[in-house]
Amino acid sequence: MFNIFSKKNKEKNAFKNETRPYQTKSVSDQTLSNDLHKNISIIKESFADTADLVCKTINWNGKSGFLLYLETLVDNELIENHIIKPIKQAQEQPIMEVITALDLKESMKLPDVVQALTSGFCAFLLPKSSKVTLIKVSKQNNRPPEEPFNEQVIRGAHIGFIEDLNTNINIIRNQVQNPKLKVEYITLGKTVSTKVAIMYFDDLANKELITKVKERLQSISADIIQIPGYIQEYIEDRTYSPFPQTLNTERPDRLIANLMDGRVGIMMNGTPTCLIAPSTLISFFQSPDDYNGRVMIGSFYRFIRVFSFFVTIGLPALYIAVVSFHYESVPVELLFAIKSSLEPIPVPPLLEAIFMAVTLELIREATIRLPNPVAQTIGVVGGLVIGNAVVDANLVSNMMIIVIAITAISSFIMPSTEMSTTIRLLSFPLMLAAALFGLIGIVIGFLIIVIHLCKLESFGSPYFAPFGPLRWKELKDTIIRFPTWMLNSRPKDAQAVYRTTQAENPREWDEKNE
Amino acid sequence: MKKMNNKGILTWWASFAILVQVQIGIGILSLPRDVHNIAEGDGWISVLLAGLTIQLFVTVIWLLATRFNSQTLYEFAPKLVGKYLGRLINLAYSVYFLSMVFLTTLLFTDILKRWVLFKTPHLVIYVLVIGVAYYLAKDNIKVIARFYTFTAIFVILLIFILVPALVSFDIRFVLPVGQAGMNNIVKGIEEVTNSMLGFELLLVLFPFIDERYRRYSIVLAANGFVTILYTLIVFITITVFSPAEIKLIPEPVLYMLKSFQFDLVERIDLLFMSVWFVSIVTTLVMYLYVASFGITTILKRKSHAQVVAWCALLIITVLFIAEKDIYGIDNYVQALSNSSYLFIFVLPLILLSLSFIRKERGK
Amino acid sequence: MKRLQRRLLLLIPVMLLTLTGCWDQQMLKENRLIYGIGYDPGKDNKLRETVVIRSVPKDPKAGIANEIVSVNGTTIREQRSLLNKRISGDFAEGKARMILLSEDLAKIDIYPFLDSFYRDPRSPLGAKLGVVKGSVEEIYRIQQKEQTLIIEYIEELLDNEERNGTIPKQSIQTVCTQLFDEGRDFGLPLLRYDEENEGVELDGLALFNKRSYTGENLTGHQSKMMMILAEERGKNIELTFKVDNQEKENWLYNYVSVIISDADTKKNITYDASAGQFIVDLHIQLEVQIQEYASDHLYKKEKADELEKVIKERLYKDADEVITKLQEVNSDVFGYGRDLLAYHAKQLPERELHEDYFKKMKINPTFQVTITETGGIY
Repeated sequence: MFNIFSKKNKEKNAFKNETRPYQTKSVSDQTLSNDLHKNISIIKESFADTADLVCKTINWNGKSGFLLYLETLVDNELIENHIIKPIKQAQEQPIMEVITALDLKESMKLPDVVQALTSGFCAFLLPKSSKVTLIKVSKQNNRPPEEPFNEQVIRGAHIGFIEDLNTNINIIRNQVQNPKLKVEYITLGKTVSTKVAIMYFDDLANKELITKVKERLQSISADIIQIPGYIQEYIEDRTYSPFPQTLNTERPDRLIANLMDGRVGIMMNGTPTCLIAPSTLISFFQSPDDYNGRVMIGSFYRFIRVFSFFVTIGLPALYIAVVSFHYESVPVELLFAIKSSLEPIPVPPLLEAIFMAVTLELIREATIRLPNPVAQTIGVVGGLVIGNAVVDANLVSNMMIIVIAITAISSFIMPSTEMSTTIRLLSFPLMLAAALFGLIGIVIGFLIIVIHLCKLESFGSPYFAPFGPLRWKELKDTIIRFPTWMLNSRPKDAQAVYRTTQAENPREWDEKNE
Repeated sequence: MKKMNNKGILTWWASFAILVQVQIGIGILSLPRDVHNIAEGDGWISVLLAGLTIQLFVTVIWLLATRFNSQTLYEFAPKLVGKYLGRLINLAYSVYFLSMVFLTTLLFTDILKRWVLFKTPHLVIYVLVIGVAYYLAKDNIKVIARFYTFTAIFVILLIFILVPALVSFDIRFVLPVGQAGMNNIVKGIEEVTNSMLGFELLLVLFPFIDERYRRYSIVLAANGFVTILYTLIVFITITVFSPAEIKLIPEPVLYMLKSFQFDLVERIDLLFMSVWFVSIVTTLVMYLYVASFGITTILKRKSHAQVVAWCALLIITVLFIAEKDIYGIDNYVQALSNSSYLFIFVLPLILLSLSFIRKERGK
Repeated sequence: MKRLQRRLLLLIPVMLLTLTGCWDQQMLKENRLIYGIGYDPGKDNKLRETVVIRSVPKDPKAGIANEIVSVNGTTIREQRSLLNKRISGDFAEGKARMILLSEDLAKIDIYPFLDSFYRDPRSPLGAKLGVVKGSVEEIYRIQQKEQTLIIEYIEELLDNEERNGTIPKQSIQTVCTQLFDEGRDFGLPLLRYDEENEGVELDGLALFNKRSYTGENLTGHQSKMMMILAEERGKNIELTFKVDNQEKENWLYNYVSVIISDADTKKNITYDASAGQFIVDLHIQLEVQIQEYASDHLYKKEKADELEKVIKERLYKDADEVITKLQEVNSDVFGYGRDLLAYHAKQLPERELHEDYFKKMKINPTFQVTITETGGIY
């Protein structure tokens, strides 16, 4: 469970030499036989029986051939117009002349076929022939997948998921190009049925995890499963916890990175949001931007985010504790500044803080609901007018405005909206604790939060890892980020079958230069 | 309900973290003064020697525990001395562990009330402290271990908080070495041993350690770490205060921190208190868990969660009734520290020799 | 569902407990922050306490002001209650910066005035302590020195002198350690009302023996010498010596000002068994920088050597004066008693320090002076 000191160098060295079943090259280098059914089953096997691999019978020239394709990658219209129609009308010409598609080739090798299928080709197999005709029928997305506005990055891919499930899987498949990316469909909802896709890398993701996810999904028996929030609440371990236990994302790159860690993605038709299970607390602090920037800069912003987590939860509480319990711990000059701003305020600091924090939530809520141009006005009105007027009216002290403003800003820098709201919510009980017992109250509050985090499990793996349980090695990608070539093992929480992600020294050239 | 059996899940680091944090407890705040009263400037030697003495005790416990590989004290005691006597031993240990919770809370509340929460009623502090401990102790050892591995970081923080002491440091207060005489130094050991209790939990916790990591190095490292940390703290504290001054200060460590002045925070003792709170909770949780684990075994219950709740309530009640003036507390401390030798040394030694004589050992 | 209900039920007693009150709350807003405290002897064997309260106006632009309150009472606690009756809001001494004692009170014992500070965990142990020649109230009643409030003014004055090495760094806490240390005494800054400038003047260092003021004090120059001898902070101390007597009319030419750029003190304590006396040999090596020397330019090596020799002589003479004065009043500001206890416990009668151990000691300072820099000109 908590092993830190055990040495696993053997596995590391093996990375370079062996090909693992989940890697793209793992398809066995064999020539197809004359047996049609055997061919089909070999191909299916290479695709780990994924649910979007379609096998269709088509009669050509008296023989019944099979058309194989990944439905999420191909354009149905192209298949109809350029493959099925010509074949139906064809006489005894060779197949290569019948099909009217532009990109078209033949092959007898299994890896070629599998490779072609993953890049949007469609395979036509005939009985008693080892030759497979490959026709390019890949789909062009008609709705451009725009960058999700709630998960924007500076550098990196600017695409996001859309509402259509097939398009989303198409995006993933196009980027991954790996036959071992397995998709399974489950239809949920007894009255309004929704197609849900479970995605993972076969042979990499932990079998127990997959069964657990499937089991939980299948056990949902409800009339309607409309939004990911429903699924989340049905399958997560603790519903009453304020912490989100599955990562929600609309970014394909984030999903792929998580799939590569051996996690499972759950997508559903009709929403662009994808759930990732299991997830840990720290994954809500990671953003693709961290890896695109320089190591130092990425680490700095990661640190800022973790710091802002504490600021959001603790700063208002700390301020309350200081002004109503431990003012003697503040230097004199600062103390007089605080005191003079507090002098005209008739309400206790706790009420002040709650009033300001609630006002802030009001402004936030209002800006979401209103159309964009008006929302900006509300932001200005909220920020300037209310802030100014409230101080002038002696309702809230200047210091409190500063405290709440810093709190709000630091909560908004979380890359995940869910976590941002969670921590702002958590600051309220802490404020209360601070108003009752001062600093000791805050400590108790933090302790309860930490204990709660230690208790949380997301699909059987500890949520608070790698802090509790402390795993020294995995701290490399937490509060600070180490260079990519040093992050050579997958986080343990997903219990992936293979732990290493790269050769022991991916910068081999560097050694050679010496 | 959750499974009780989580044996063999603690790694080296987790067991180390647990042992260290149980050992570091309430005692250290007043230790420099207590030990200075007896061994004067040589108090730090007493601490070092106490560490060695404790290593001896731990070795006895270790030998006993390794003979019953996968069994806790509660399971092997009845086998060794018979059903009824075994149960009596189990009960005695559970009561001892509970009384450690009682005493730690009593002392901690006393310090809290004198340093931070002056007017808050005792009962409220009891409920807060025991409540937090209960919240963690009711879960299984896996979750508890997670918490401990995380809070081990705070122990390291404790060391850093002492660095500013090096400014107002006067080595002459501990010189000449050996001023108190061997006799007093040895007497001081007794005082220190009380503040370093916690290793006896190994009797129960041993089977929870992963078999791959069951090395003597765990206890050696844990005890060594605590001894060095304590020696350091005692040494620094004794060198900061003059001998006559330290006699007047009940909690020299806190007092020393209070006298440090920084630009941004002027009461370091408050910060220390906050970090210290975690240390106290870690001590309480483990004792509470192990005690209720014992009672669960005696009552043959399946889950310990409810037992923890009853234990917590019991302790709060006893605390509520107990005497709270400084002399009353001192009586409790004396009583418990005297009886503790029975549990940390005498009983394990008897059990060990019994197991040798009867050739009894676990599979 | 049932579990949730049970949890909510559990919450009720917790809520009841917590909502009944916040016992230890001490609102910053409602407290009057005491900034400085002073004690004078009052009439009829009473004590007169003067406190400076920093008043914070509701309108931050209105500027800052002090409020001075004085009361007469028998004990310190009684005065607290008397004070509370005279100020609006709660009396809070947690942020006091300055505690001044009139010399008459300091001569008796200073501990009673400090005792309550050591007991209260909230008290400001970093506050400065000083002895006043004359009345403290008179000083506090200055209220404001130009734009600076009186307490800040005194604090900055003392801070500055501490940095210059005129007086040792002291606060309530450091004094506490020395109060209880049998092998060490201390000195506190001696302040005086400066009528001419309507301000406060540092008059030197008030010497203490055990817990009481001896009535003797070192002048500023002597105090600096003491600091050099005490190997506490030799660096950056500025000293002025009269090195010549020739120029009668233009007497400014007779003086040299140096700043010590590096000081290295070696201390060696030996026991002379025949005399039953401890001997302290101090070997002090100083590197000095010329700050002001109008009479001659030092481009000649011989001139410089000569000056070094004269400075050395002056230093020795002054050091001797300081030591004699200290031994006269038995004020062991160097902490030699501590050294004796630590390194020479065997030679001490009954391994304990006698009352007058410091008086009996023999202290021999030797100096070595090198001029390392002369500034922009020779």
